[in-house]
Amino acid sequence: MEKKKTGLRFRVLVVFSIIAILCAISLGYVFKNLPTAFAEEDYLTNQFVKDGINIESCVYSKADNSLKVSIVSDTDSDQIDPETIRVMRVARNKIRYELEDLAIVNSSKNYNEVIMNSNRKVLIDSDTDILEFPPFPECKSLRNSIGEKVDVEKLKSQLNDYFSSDYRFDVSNSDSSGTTVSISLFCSEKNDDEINEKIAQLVMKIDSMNRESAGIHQLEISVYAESESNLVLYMYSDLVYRDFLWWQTPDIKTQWTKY
Amino acid sequence: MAKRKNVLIRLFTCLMSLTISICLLTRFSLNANAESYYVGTIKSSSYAGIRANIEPRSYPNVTGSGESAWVSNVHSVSGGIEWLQTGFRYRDGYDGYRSYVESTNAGAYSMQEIGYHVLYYAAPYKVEYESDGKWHAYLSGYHKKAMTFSFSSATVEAMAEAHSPSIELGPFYFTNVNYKSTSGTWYYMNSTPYADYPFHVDITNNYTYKAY
Repeated sequence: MEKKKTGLRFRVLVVFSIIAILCAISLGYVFKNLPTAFAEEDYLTNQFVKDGINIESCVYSKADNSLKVSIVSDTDSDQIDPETIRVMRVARNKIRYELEDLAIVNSSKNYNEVIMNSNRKVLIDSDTDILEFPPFPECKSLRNSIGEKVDVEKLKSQLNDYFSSDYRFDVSNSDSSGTTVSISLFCSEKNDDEINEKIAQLVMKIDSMNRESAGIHQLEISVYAESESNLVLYMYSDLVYRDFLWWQTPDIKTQWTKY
Repeated sequence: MAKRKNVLIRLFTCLMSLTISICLLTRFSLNANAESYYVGTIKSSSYAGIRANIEPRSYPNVTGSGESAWVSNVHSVSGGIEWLQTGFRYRDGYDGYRSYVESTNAGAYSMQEIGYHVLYYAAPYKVEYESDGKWHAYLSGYHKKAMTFSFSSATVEAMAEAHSPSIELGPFYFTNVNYKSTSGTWYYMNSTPYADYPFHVDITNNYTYKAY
């Protein structure tokens, strides 16, 4: 009788132990995942802040496969300004080139970019998969060349051969996002056709230089008209992802993609 | 009296000729400097979407310039004109047609090239307003971009666009061009396709046309 009781107790103990182990595993899984996502959101936010980006929130949704990044712009206007374009590019570069290994970034099929003005009014609320890599051959070789040593003087001399004295160049290099060519273009008057045509030609020439392995990953263009302080267009483009982003004064009625 | 009448008639004729000449010259010079020449259909002004199958069958000569074929919404707002557009583009130096999504919203312009659009493939392109309050762009059935605008209905267009009068356009074949009403129903396009000079359109019906 006593032996039978001991056997029953043993069986109850075994079943209880199995249930306890299963509970522990489940709880461990839940707690392991929750803090990771939260920790990565915090990490991402801190990384943005480190680059001077004013982040309102950074939220990952596993259900929607979506990473929502809300950025506060310095402008109090209802329209995006050139500085906000620069900030949007810095944030996208951060995600594409520095933080793509984070679980909440590489598992997101949707980058929800929310831009608010300083009064917290939403100016832009856009969803896109910014990690979708284009299949164009020059993009693949550009991606592979990030981090390689760049002969800045040679690149400057190539740019000077291509362009006239209306342009000023600056070349900078980053280990993560590659070589940025910053071009300032000065026009004596604000002529839509002239400005747009010049930008279209400029992008075509940079593309053709890249086909000859120039290795220009980022292209920043500032166009000044009438005076050297009158910025009329600012573009900051990622040539690896073929992602063009720009601001232009409302006085310019058309855009360079139409030329 | 008759002489005076004659003088007045001649003066009037001269003035009319001068006016017509100025109008023609202005139109000519505007066209000569215009950034784009369009062939396709427009449905003004309160619709919730546009879709079309668009097929290129050859690579045109676009020396020094480029062209595209697309569907788009377009709406005037206080800051200017805003739109969400998807289609394909071809520029001097390109190795094929490239599909893209382009938008203008709150003063920010964006254009992203996504992939190739191969010859003899009538890919479906779509831009529509959905129940989440955003406009969405689809390329071959795949969602590519969503964006909030201040409007839920707009003018919708299905167009071929050349950036110079001296290049070849397409030809691009538009089929099954549909627009979406604000109640959510899709209808065959019923606006007549048009072509800016010097380009052409061959119309099978309002929702099937060849732009070239």
